[in-house]
Amino acid sequence: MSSLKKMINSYARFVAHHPVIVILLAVMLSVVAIQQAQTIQTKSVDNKNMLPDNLEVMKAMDLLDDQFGGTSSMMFALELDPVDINSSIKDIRDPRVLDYMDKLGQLTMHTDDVVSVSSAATVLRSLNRGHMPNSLSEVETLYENNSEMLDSYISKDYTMALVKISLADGYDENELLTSMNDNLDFVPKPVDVKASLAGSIVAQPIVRQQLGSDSTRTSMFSMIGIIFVLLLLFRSIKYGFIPLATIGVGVIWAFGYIGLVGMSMSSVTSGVISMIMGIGIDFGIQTVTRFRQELKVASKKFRTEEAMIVTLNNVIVPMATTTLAALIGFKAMSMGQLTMMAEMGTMMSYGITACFLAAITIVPSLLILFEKINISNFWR
Amino acid sequence: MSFLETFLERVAILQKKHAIAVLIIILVATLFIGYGITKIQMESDINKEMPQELPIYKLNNKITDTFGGQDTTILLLTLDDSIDYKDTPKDIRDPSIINYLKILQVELEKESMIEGVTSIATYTSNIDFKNLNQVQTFLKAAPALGSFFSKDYKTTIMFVTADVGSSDEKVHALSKLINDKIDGLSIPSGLKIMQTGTPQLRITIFSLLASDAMFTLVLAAAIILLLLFIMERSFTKGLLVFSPLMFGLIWTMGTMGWLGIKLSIATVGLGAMILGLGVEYGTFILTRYKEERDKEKNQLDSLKVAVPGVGSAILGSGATTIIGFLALTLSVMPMLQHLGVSLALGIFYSLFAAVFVSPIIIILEEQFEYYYTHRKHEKILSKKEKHMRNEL
Repeated sequence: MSSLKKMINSYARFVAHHPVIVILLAVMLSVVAIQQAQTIQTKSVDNKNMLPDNLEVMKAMDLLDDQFGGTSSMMFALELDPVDINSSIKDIRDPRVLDYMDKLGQLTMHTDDVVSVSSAATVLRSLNRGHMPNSLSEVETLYENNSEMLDSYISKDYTMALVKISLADGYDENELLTSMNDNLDFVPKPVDVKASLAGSIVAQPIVRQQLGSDSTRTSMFSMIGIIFVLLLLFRSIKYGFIPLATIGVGVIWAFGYIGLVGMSMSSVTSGVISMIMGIGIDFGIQTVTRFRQELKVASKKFRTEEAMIVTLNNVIVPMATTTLAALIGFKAMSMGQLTMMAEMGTMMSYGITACFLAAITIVPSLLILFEKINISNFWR
Repeated sequence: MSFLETFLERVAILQKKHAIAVLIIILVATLFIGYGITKIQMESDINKEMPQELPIYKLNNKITDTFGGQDTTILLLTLDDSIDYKDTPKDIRDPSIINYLKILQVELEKESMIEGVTSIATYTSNIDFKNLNQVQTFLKAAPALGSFFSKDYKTTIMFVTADVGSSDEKVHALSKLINDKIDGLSIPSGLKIMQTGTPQLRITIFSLLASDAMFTLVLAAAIILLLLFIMERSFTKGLLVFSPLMFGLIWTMGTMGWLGIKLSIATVGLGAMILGLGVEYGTFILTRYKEERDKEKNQLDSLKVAVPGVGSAILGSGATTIIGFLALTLSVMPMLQHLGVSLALGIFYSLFAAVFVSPIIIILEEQFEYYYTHRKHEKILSKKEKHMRNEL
């Protein structure tokens, strides 16, 4: 018998004869993992990180960041209500809107991390010797002669205007958005004008807010589907539910480790739980299937323990091989230059490894306990 | 015996009786489905992988449509410090560079594809600067224009706006146009031009998608094959497990091409993931078949045990994996939806290949080995007989 086989056999004997100890250790580990998992934070996906820094296009972007105060920007979008035909404002260049734009811009300029604010109001003011035009006809005259400078702020149909805000690097996303929303609330807005925050910086927290419900929805669907398949496969409530410990405990351990190493969840990794569940349950199915087969042929004395020893001796190596192959696949996936999904691959690797460990620790222990207390007859 | 096991037993009988015919059908189907690989399209627009139905994305898209912000190429003109000739400008505001910007801007503005160009040249087109002092004086009077220059006066920027929308062809055409214009003019000594912006990011992603997909696939294939050789302790067995996996992969990529599922930044590592996850199914079939053969059962009897026995188990575990991936279609993120569908398709095909193709390859390889060994043996025997007849 090779040393590996000897080790596996010794381990199988330990699990078969001391299931309670294994369960207690697994529970203790799970408690620690739950604590660590609670430290996991959510983060936004930064498009700049999806390409390697050594590419020419990224070097240029870095240079732009360094020399021109960053490429981060956001804006206020002002729109006329297209439905309201009785609206008193028919043109976004109306002096009342320009005045609002001006006040909003001035207030925003005093917000932390704001480098500059520009809008049609700032351009018109500079074109009009520092004064805001008083009438629409005055604005139209200035506009006609300087349309090139104003086209990037006012839409061609005069229903939309932008107040552009350049930001310094290192801003706090939440604080910034709160301040901007406060600015919107503070400055009295003309009736019939809709003002909203826009830009990719604004979109990221909204997507992040969806993460929780997204993750719950996908994992719930995954769980229900898996339970359905398990019940169909084993036609037993006991054997249908015990493999679920693989993914329940596996996911807790994996996320505990993710928290421990300081990784964060993002929109890209929000579906990782359902994927880990789908892949990880295979290990539970293999352990339970083999155990049931061995129970049929095991001798009456120490029937349960014997069946578990044979089971673990036979499933550990194939399951380890499968885990290794999956880890290779996930690692290879992140070896390319487009590494946006690399973090997802890393989390999947942790998840699959944790499910493998759960399938050879907690699942066999539960199988032995449930078999010994003979609850099967009650549940069957 | 369950319905599934009865069905799989019939499949096993069919696989033994009509191995060649079934293999030919599979090969023809593979050719047809595989042809779809030539139809696979690339998606380089990251924006399309985001939840477009959310109001903020609708607003951002409206702004992009109205003001064309997403299609801005940024040209960074920077002084190369490594070049230190006498005539090389030391300040980016040098009149020779401003003049170059004017000419480049005029050339770019001639093109119908380009909607607008903005740089310091926009505001100095009518001024003929003779020396750096004149430029500095002009900029002092118009401090807002200082934003076109870096603080150390080594870099200046030019914004080129074009309506390329979501078309990859237009993005490529725009990039080629800008490069041609830059190459067509004589660049002042010591000046380096770099391009960035959304169109350039898209071109870079586009060019990396195919090479990355191939690289990660080949890397995963090589390592997994090596792992199989080591675990099975046989090249033949390793290849027997691996070859059905390649069918699964070809079918997956082909179906993606036929169904118009694009290869994107989210699905670029798909091949590597399918190889990693799909390898187990073939391993179980081969192991169980060999187990039965070792009990001295014939090919048909061994298949009748292996295909229904392992087949039903791996169909169960494969179904849970497929469910796990299909759950991603409920995500708000289109990138996860696409990844989920592609992976579910990949696992389905890997399962199908393991249950329906793998046994055929296993028995045909065995038959070939039997035939080859038998023929070799006969040759040796006849040679031996000849030697015996003509004793030395």
